[in-house]
Parts: sequence; structure tokens; C-alpha cells
Amino acid sequence: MTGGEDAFRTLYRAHTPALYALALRLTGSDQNEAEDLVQETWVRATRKMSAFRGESALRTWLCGVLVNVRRERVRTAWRMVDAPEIERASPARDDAAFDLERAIAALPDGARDIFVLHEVYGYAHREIAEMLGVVEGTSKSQLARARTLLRKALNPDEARP
Amino acid sequence: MSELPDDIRRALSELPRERQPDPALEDRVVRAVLGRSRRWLWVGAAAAAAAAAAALLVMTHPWSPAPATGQTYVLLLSPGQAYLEPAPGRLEERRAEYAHWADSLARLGKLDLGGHLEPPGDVVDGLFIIRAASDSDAARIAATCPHIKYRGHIEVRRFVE
Repeated sequence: MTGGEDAFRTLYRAHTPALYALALRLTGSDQNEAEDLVQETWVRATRKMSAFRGESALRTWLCGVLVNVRRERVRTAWRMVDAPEIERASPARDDAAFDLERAIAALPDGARDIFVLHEVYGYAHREIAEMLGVVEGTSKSQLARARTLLRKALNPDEARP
Repeated sequence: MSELPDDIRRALSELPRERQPDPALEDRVVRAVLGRSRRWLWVGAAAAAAAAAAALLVMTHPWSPAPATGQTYVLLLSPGQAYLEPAPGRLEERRAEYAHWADSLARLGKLDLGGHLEPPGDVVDGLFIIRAASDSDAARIAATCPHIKYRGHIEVRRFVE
């Protein structure tokens, strides 16, 4: 094993579990797609390492690369695929069936990205805006939309007048 | 701003932030990042039976297919009835787009070979040999090919050596 490879494997092992967890959430737990995202993230990150300015943590930067790879795919090629029916969260809200992950997976792509980054990973709107190349207002409005949708998915009574 | 109820917040805070992917992913990523150069081959061959051509090309090409997991699939590209031909003089641009797509697959360790057949045929005028985890994974990869955008037809066949 070369020194470069050794160093890369160390970096990979330190950050991949977090990247993979994020990828699973963004893809609705599609393991193949999540692994593809992680791989493409590392490929892009190593090519763009000079663009990492050290102003944010390396993991934050890597997460940003991953989210952007995902968004790029959704915007372009992946929209050609017949989207599988996403199972909605069960309307019956009991503790045993409570499936937050599934409800998150059912959120619209843009809102889900921001919801996951903010509510699950704790990124500030400023960081999300920088990651995704949007203004903070967009991050805030998409988060509010995601919260509303999630509440309604988990509490269908709320959706009724 | 819309807020979340405490029980949902509590559940969010308990979601795992890290997940371990398939251990085989590490080697795939290392190969993609450090080990593999871009490979693209334009194939000049008679428009013979595509599967036979695929087998011949696999056997004669100087580099070995990546020892990736999954199975080998052949994507057979044909124009079909609705194919949107490139504008006059734009054929090379169209081919470059396909090559770019193939490059992105190669970076993911999923492309063994790709190219077009000369002269173009009515039945098959291009083929790609890819690695995919399953039939559905292969179909999903095929759906990302620019050929779909141009309303061409892609037949996905598992390749048995």
C-alpha cells in the first residue's frame, strides 16, 4: 500500500460512515444509490481538494459535495427514470409504527436536503446556503415547508380543516 | 417559522448520524480515486451481432475489467422510432456527450467498455458493457444514458461468460 493510498484510506474511514448515513437519508435508504453517491463524492472531493478553503470543517465540505452530487443527479439524468412510488408514512401514528426515516424520505427532494442538513445534522442556514449555493432565505423557506409536510405526514389529523 | 413537536424533535435527535456501508465500497472508492484512469474506447466494427461483438471486445481489450462486485450487463443502444437525431454537423458533439456519460460511469468503476458501431445500424449502433449490482440497478444506470434523453432505445441484457 502506498503512502498516498494509506492516507486516503484513513480519511475515507474517518468520514465515510457520516457520508453514507447522509446519502441514505437523501436517497430514501437506497443502498446502491447511496454507495454511488459516496463514491462520486470522494472522486469529486479529491479532484476539488484545492477548492477546500479550510473555512469549514472538512466533513461539512464533504457533505456539501455529496448533497450537490445528489442534486445534480436529480436535476438531470435521474429525472428520466420512472420514479418508484414512495411509500408515504403510515397515517396511523402509534409508537411502534412510527417511522420518521420513511417520512423524511417522502419529502420533496429540495426540502428534504435542507431538512436533513438542518434538523438531523445541525447545520446552520448559513452553512447550508454555502453548501448548496443558495441564499439563506431559500434554506429557511424550504425548511419551513419540510417541517409542515413532515408534521402532516406524521399527524394526518393536522391536515384536516 | 413552522416548528416541530417535541416528540418529533426527540426522535430526530436519536437518529443515527453514521452508518457503515458495505466494506467492499472502500476498495471501489480507492480504485476510483487513485487507481483507475479514464478509459473510453471508440469501437470501429461492423454492426454485427452486438452480443458477439461485446464478447470479442472484452477478450481482446488490453485492460482487464475491474474486479468489481456485481454482474456484467450489455447495454444495446438502438435508435428506435422516436430517436432525436443530432442536427447536421453536431454528431461529434452528441458522441462527446455519450463519452462524458461513459467517463462518469468509469469513474464509478461501473464501465468495462463502451463505444459505437460503424456504420450506424438500424438495430444496434452502440453498446456499453457495465457492472451493476442487479437487473434493476443495470436498468437504472441505463436510464441515465443520454440516449434516453434523445428518446432512443436501450436494451439491457445480462452478459454470461
